[in-house]
Amino acid sequence: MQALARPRACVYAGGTDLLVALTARQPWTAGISELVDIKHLDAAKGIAALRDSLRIGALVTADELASSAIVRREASALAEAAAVTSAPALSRRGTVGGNIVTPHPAGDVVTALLALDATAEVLEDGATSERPLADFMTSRSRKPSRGRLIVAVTIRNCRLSAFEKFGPRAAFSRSIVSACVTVLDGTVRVALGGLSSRPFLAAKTAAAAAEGHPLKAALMEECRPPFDGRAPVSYRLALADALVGKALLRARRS
Amino acid sequence: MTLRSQIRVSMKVNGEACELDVPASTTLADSLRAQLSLTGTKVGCDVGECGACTVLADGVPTLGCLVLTVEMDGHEITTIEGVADSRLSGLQRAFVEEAGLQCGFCTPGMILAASRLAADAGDREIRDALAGNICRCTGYTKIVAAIRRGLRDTSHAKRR
Amino acid sequence: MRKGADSKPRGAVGRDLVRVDGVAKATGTAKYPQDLPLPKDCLHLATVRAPLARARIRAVGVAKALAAPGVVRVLTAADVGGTNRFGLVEADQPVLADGVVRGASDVVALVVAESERAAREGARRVVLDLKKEAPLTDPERACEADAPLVHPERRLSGRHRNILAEREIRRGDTARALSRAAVVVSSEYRTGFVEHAFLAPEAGLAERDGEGRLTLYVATQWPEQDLRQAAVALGEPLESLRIVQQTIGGAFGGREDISLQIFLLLAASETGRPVRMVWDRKESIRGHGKRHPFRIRHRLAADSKGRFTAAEIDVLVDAGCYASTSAAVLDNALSQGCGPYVVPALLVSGRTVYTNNPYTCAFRGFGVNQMAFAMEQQVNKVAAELSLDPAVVRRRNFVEPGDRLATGTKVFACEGLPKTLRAAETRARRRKLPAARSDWVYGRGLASASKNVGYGFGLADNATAEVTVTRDGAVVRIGAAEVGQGVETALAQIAAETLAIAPARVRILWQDTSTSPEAGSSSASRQTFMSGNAVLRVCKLARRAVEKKGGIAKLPKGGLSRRFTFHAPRTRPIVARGATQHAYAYAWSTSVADVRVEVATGRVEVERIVTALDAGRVVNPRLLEGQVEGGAVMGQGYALQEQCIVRDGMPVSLGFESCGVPTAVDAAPDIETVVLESAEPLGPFGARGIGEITMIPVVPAITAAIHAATGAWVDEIPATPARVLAALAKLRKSSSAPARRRLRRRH
Repeated sequence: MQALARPRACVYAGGTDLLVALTARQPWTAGISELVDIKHLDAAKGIAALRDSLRIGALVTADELASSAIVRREASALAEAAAVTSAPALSRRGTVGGNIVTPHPAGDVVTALLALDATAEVLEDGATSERPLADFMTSRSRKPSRGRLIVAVTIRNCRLSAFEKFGPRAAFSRSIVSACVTVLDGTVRVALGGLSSRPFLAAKTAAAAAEGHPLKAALMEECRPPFDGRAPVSYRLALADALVGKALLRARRS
Repeated sequence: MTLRSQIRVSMKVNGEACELDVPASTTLADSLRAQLSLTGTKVGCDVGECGACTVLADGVPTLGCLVLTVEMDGHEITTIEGVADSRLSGLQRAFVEEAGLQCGFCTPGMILAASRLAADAGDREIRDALAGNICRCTGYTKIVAAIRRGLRDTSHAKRR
Repeated sequence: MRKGADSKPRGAVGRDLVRVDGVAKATGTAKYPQDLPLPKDCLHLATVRAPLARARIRAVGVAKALAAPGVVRVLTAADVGGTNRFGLVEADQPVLADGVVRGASDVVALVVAESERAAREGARRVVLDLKKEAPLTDPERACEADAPLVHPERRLSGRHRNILAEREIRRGDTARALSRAAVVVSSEYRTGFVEHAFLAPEAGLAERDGEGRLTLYVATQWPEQDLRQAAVALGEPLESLRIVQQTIGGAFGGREDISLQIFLLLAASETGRPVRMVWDRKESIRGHGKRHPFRIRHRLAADSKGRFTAAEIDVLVDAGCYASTSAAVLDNALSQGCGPYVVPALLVSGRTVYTNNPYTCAFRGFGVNQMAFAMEQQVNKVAAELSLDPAVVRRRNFVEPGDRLATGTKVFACEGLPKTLRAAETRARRRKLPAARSDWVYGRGLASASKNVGYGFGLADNATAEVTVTRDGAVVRIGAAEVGQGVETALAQIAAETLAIAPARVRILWQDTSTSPEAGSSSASRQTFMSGNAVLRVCKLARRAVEKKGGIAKLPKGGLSRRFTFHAPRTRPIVARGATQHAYAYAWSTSVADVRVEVATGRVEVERIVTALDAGRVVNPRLLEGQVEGGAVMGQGYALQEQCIVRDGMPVSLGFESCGVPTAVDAAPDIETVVLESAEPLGPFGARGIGEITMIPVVPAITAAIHAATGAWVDEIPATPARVLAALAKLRKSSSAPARRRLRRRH
């Protein structure tokens, strides 16, 4: 942790985003001259079953999530998201923590975590605190984490859950739109990826979905689709409508 | 680790012990190619999007361009050069005889990405395992056929 | 149907020989240029490019770069010794940008340093003082008389100021035929920029060899053409330059233009030391050309039986910032603009224009893909309007042996064309299409196509081969670039067959320009025909000579050598009216695509592609199948998901994912090849070239399948899910009752 507090240090876990950024000399990496490899940090490893929740270490990879029997049983949407988020070799390196701090409009694992009411365990200035994961979805620009480390996330078990992804290719692509629907304590939660600067909880859309109302108006209100040339805005909203519908159907049946 | 610092790395590559002094920021793919002259591992994009740099790290298919050499200290690496001794491996022979290669640049990565599949892996499973390995020449049909045959042949050979 | 001289494989031609370079590639021992060991005291190059597509270069500040550790030289336009211009046809491209930036591929300076890192660091320290200008990105705008000029030095006037080439072909009276037609289908089609995405990024090494020649170790489609351009640019005699080809990691037309060749030769010449350069994927995408975007306005008229009576086709093609082969692409496209059909009255016109977009260049199909997409879709629309089977309409209009296309050129050996249609249909029928569901609908589409073989249009097209026959076998020297398509193996089979020896005893040497004679480019589906013929004829000469000497045992130690240059049969340019001869051979094919479309999202999945191909005579069945399958997936990608997005003249899709390149999961899981063999009269053993046609009919077959599944025509490719969904929405809103009925039937 002392290492992380150093001004030119950056957390290094799977490296699937960081290494690419360093190689490309993306501006936000200009100040980084030291990598702090945290892969030995035991507190950030493993998936632990608690009474009605799961504690998932920040170092857990997408591959581990997708193949974990307990995740597939207790929070299937998360396993689904992890299974489709990238390609085999990459999914063995990409971590939960990395997915949280990478400021991309979509982030399949993060989208699922939000719908599963995730809280993040954060280590900062020697102390640990619990914060809602949504708090970390505000950053628009990339910067190396200084002296702050996400150690784990805790999600609520939810057997009524489903994740839907839509990308520009059938496999191995960043989502254009993704949707995760969970039904927790009878309440429908909808998290959306690709419809804002970061994945977010779409409360109005969830309310409309729960009532069986059309989603279009709520989606138009809540979404701020990014202009990244990957798909027209109207299409993204139509996709969101379709994906939420699909996910809700599957969530209720599962 | 400071990116510019030189770090001594000890690892096993294709069964042989290696000692390298590399800058911390060097990827495994670059070290294998430049320091060890193992140019069978290819760099097609350097950002993890094509799979041409796939090697085995402790038996697991791994992207050489997205792993720092220093992380492999104490680990075992297998590259395409280490897949077989003097003859061709079952997969290599299958790729050659089934014409699962044309320009050949994706081939080492394909062979290594497929090498841990079960002998009875079906087409769907093979394609999913190759999702991160791009081929521009073959259309994948003969690659899948070569892998199916190669996995079967390898398993038969093992049983004998 | 003649299935070739005999249907049993005899000798080496027609056999599934394992490719000669297979083991080296599968073991990782094949060396691509980036794999070459570094010579002692090797220097490294890095490029300096502007972050803009159009600008005035006020100054290039090199002082900071020169002061950087390890930097040895910084080269700019002033250092180009000969003429600072190159180009495959027109020399309109600067080696190093002088005074202006015209496009993303421009390089302003080269930094030469002791290490790759030092070179890149040095490149970052070069200061460019640029005056930004608004880039000309719209080809329509580029045609206007008052448009800003991309090449003011061309001194064209009036409405031609950015127009690189303009053509028109007429036959008969189209206006009359259109007014009398039973049905006229009128549509506009669009295609976009596409990236070749060959797997091995550009790389090379240059140094002086033992004989003082500047030698380039590189991977290129046409080495001699590279050297001719380099000689002019460097101001060096051609004989002092040499290329030794390394293993080529894919090309598809993207290695036909100069990329880093002159940079390396220049730096090696200036420094007197070996120089190396390796591009990463982003630089590769920026640094070479793209497929031509086409805008096609198409009117097709037919009688009540579906016989075509007239076509009016107008084409606008984006040439990007440099000419490259854009004029030839326009000619090629217009030549086959109305497909393999009899069209009695025709007006085909087109122009290709300069813009500040990325320069467009050769890419598998060379303009025919775009035209075939439009024509085949029009044919399918005519069939739909008349409620006729699309296959029936095609059969009624196919060209027959002895016919001349309306564009003036005669087509040869086309008796296989209707057979490809029947064969594709028959094979396709083996699979039953699933019934439509609420979420997915299914459809099958069909399309046919022709593709010319060779350069054509009166361009010089030759291939020279030398053979030395000894008691151990034969060594054939011919500079035909093996880009992955298997030409090295095919030529070995042709040589073995002709010399009546085992293929294992034949060696093909193609890599060294100093010892292998010129064969022309590996493009235009020409190598099997041209180099195959050169090898066949030279081996025939050698065999006869050996027989005269009394047999191989009687040969002296050095063996016996012969040399032969095969000249392509004569071709002629485009003419506005009347007879001409654009090509000396054509390939024919029909593809059927089965797709399913997700109604809620517009996603299209291709479940099967069947391609029936008249290949002339097949030299190697398995390698041919590989070309069909590779072409099918490339066609699928072009139809559905591939685009290199360009903004303000700069490519912003800089990777495999962003360019939409198909993965193993995207690719149709079932690709079936049906091969027909009706001999190509002038081809070696009756073989013709098929490298490009494998892609061409797949695109309209897929868009036809989308229509069959949904009732919607998508006239712009890639038919992304967004475009398909928009077409579906348009269809629903349409007040046309038949359209709504069709849609209802599908769901």
